[in-house]
Amino acid sequence: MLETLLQLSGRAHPLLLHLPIGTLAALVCLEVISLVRRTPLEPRTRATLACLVALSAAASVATGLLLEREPAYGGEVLDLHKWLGIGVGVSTVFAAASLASVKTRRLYPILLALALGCIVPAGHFGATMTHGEGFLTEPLFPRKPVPIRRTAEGGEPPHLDFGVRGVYPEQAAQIFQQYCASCHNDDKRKGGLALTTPGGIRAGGKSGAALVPGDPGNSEMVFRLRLPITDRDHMPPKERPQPDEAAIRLIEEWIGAGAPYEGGELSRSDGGLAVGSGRSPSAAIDRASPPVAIQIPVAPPAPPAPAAAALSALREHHVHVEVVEPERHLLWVSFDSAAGTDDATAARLMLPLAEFIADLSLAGTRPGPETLALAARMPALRRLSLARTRCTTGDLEALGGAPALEELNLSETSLDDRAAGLLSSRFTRLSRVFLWRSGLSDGAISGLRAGRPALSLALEVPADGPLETEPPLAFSGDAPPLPAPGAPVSLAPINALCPVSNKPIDARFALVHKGRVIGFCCEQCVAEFLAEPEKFEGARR
Amino acid sequence: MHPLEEHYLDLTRRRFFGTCAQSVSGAVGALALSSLIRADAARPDAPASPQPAGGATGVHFRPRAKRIIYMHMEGAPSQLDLFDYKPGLRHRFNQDLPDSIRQGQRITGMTSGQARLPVAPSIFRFSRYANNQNGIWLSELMPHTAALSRDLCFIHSMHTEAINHEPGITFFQTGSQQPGRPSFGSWASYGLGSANANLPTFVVLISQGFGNMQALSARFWGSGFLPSEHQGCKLRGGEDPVLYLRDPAGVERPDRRRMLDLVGALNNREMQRSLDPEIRARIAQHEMAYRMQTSVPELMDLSGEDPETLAMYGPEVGKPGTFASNCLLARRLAERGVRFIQLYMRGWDAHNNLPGEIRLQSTAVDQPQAALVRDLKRRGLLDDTIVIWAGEFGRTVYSQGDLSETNYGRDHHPRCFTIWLAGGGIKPGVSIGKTDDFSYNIVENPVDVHDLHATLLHLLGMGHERLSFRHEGRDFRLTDVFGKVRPELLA
Repeated sequence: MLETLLQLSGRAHPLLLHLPIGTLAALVCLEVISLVRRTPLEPRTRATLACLVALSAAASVATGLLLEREPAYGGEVLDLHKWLGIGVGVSTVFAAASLASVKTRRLYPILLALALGCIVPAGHFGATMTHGEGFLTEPLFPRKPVPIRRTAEGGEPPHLDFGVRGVYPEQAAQIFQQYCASCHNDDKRKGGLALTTPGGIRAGGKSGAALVPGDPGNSEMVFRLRLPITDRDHMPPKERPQPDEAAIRLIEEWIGAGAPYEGGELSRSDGGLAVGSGRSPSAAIDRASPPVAIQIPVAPPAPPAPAAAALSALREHHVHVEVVEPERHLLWVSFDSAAGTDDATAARLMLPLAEFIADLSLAGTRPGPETLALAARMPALRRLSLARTRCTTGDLEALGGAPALEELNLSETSLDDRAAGLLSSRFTRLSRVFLWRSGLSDGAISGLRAGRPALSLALEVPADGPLETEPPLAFSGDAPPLPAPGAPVSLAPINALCPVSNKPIDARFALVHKGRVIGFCCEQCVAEFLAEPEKFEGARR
Repeated sequence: MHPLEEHYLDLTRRRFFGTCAQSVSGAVGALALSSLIRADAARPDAPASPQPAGGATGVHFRPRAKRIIYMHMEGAPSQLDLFDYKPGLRHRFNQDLPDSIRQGQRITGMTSGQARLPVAPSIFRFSRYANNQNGIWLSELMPHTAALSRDLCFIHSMHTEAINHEPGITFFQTGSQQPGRPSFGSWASYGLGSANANLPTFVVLISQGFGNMQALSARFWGSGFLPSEHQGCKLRGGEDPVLYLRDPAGVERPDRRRMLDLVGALNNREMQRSLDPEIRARIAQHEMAYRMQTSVPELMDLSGEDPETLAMYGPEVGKPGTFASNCLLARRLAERGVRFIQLYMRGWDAHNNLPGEIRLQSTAVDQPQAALVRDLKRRGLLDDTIVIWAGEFGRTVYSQGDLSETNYGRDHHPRCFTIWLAGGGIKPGVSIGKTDDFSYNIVENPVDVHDLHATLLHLLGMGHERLSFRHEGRDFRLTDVFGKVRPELLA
């Protein structure tokens, strides 16, 4: 309860601080005007204003000290602001007090000037903490966002090699610099987090660790980058420039590689970047020089996905389409419930998806030349079923040359023996073919087997008889009973006198030797026995 | 997400109807529109709503299998008389079950009154059949199935915790002995959706047995807390697999379509008002029923089957409602893309008169189930269909009731039992796990039901820890908090 009150009071600081600024400015203006006009200011006015300034300044200082307890801000700037603010408070209070007596009244202008001299920089540093450096003048020096150029321009993207020193300062650090450092730097630590130094990243902030080295999935940073932009916790905030997919991917991979910090510290100064010791420093970029393009190697582009319009067009014709390999978006297409689809329609519907179809079932349909020609060109087609299609060798010819086909179901078709030759010579990657009731004669099939011995042919399923049968049964009850579980073993020593010293044994010193428990009188005897057990064998009683 | 937040989001219609559009059995949003558009004027029979695929979640990685045919032998078939060969027991006829084997396991109320627990060896002769290991000994009761042992994977070391049928079957189907959870087929439907818009995703076929039968509850294929459209659809044995499927005399298909559109519009209005997802399920069921009016008669029409295939399934295949007929239907359903086909064969609960009962049961199932596997294999469907044959637990080595050289009974035994699997990424021709000489305890490689579920979901392309549904604040999974994928079962 107290804690909450203190926190609430602390948070009133940004509100209250405007009072001393306003009232002090008013007081100073009135003093200046009265100097110019040579009419002294009404004492009561002066006193009232001075008291107001003093009281509000004191309240601001108090709440400011309370706000300091929160971890959001820190660093040099906070210290400067704090002491200058205390200076304001002290000088205004003394200034107000000095008006009480004539003697001290001479100090009043000095103290007021001191207060003014403190409040201006105090205000400046305070605003730096909340709004960042250069906030006022930023519109005068527009900083174009540094373009991130991909190194892969249509060629092979370079492999992201984290063994190479310097990925952190060169790429990850630059991303943090560009998108994060305005709020998460050493001076202004939003959420208690500073992302401009390795130490700061490691230390984390109010929400805990910023990242888990080696585990991007559980890293807070990645979590927030990947949240939808409308989400309250998404980082960077939606009004700020957002890193693109390549940058986020780089951060993820950097974390996944263990978040290495090779390359040393870097510091943020004047919005520029200076790489610290450990390697040759790259040129510090200040506002005057043109922005340097950051080269971020790009992860391989995501494979294209089948068009949703094509999928729904197929489904509207009751053709079953299902993703069977989610990563590469490979599809299984089946005409089980759309057997009546005509050739041209089927070919037209499948054309936009041709590169994704891995498994096509035309079983029970009447595939025409267009469909078969399309199937022949599908680069990913591994399995094709023409079962129950009554397709002929001519249709098989139309299919000839399907590059990736591994399994072909030709059961219950109307082929002739020429098909065996086709199967043998074309369809180089074919490993299984189903030929039950396909119309091929036995001769053709054995020819096919001879020509392609590696090809697995499925025909009629043989039913083998048993290899052996047990003799006629005869029951008996004469098997020996199972051995009973062994009797529990006693751990009592079998002797009464120590075999080494012939003294009565102490049951605490016992040894299991050759399956028997032997007692001794003391530890030394045990050791002696163990050294030369044969010497004492006969001596046991 | 907090349930209240979900509800507020649902209140923005777009999201609610967006979710509807992705629901498994029909795009309600599209339905509301299509009922106004007479786009099917050219094809009055056409189903009204498109079938989005992938269901709620879709696969997580590349699947090995696309569908499951699960033959559940209700009542618990005796592993000692079928698949678990214990020749040593021939010499222990009528001996007492040693305590070192039983280790104090609880006995059911049915045998607790017995003075003795006499060992009852099987009276059936076993033969060794070739597989991809050293061969496997299987009994004379199932010669057709045994002939396929190069393609089957036998798990001798299954175990469960349930001792009675209801909790046992509930556990095997839903992953928990307490009722209320969705069944495996519902999870498959929720995760993968249907591959054929005109048939239900989850179909159940039941055949009556010849031995002691126990009750089958509809919640074994129920959807639990998943949306109701994922429940199993039971096709009745007999002439009419779905009651009232045919339109009555005087009602034509376009009339039926108009009626459904009107009812759908009224339901839609209520759904917009109350946002009750069960209304969506009801609309989806209506649409499915409409589509089944054409697809089910086509499914049941066996005139296209050639006689050799029919003969392979045995003499009973022509009789609707028998296991043989159901096996043939299962193959036809698999051809048409139904995801989860479940066959229940009742009557294996042989507490008494086991030899006689099991002979009748085995004759009824052996040839059809082997024919099913062979038929799937030669048509090229076995590679992406998992076939499972399982009971809910095993049977005891000791006899319940009187023991003679020709007759005995067996009580329930959860500690070890045998199932077999085939197809769809399962390693063929192997025998996993071993039990001790009394087929009482497992000595090698125990596999529990959760592990089996996890492995099957893995073969279907879903991680068992990722397929979940939030209900009452908890993310439930089929495998509860257990289960791991067993690599020794995978090809």
